[in-house]
Amino acid sequence: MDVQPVFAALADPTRREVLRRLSAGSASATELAAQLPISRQAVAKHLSALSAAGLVERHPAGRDVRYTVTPAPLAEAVRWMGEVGGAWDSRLQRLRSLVE
Amino acid sequence: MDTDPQVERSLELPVSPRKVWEYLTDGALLGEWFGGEVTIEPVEGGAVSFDDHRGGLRRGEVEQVEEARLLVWTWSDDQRLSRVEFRLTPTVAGSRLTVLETLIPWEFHHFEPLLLHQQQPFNRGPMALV
Repeated sequence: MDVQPVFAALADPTRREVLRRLSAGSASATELAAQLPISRQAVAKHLSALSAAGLVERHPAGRDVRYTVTPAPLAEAVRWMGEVGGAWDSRLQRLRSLVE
Repeated sequence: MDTDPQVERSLELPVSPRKVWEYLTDGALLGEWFGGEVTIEPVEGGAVSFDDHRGGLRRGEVEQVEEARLLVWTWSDDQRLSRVEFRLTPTVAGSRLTVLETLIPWEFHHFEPLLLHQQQPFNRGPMALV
């Protein structure tokens, strides 16, 4: 993932808010505009920037386009949980043997 | 946020909460079960550091302390920031230790090292991302 567009995309608080809402489920530009205090046009521009940065994906669905957060971060979260869970299992096992 | 990645583990131990608390708040004892070298100032705002002697270094800050009941710190390597909560409850056989580690929202701190150059970071005192 190229870093500079990502940085620029995340530097804007409205775009961070769009990303936060999309991580709860897919949405169209119209739906997002209904939830945010900005125009549909402004939302579309933000989605365009997020898409260019590889942070969201476009899914054309008839006349509408729905957006989702790119799966990579989700895979990242799953990987994190596996790694961290494993680390705690080891630590707690050692703690048990120290304490008993 | 409910969607933040989180890991929880529980451990039953045959000793009192007060005894387990020593293993949470003494650097030398922490080092024995974490592995490597650990320093901790077990007070709110105190610093923590973990060096696993294999190139892994984490530093962070203690957020909450309730003697023999609750210890919370946030820590970070150069990529991830997370919060660790230890809860201790007495049981018939001794104590239950529950650990909860929560990844602080990925969309920020995944790129936080970049943003640090541009603005004040978390303002959390002795946090230096290596």
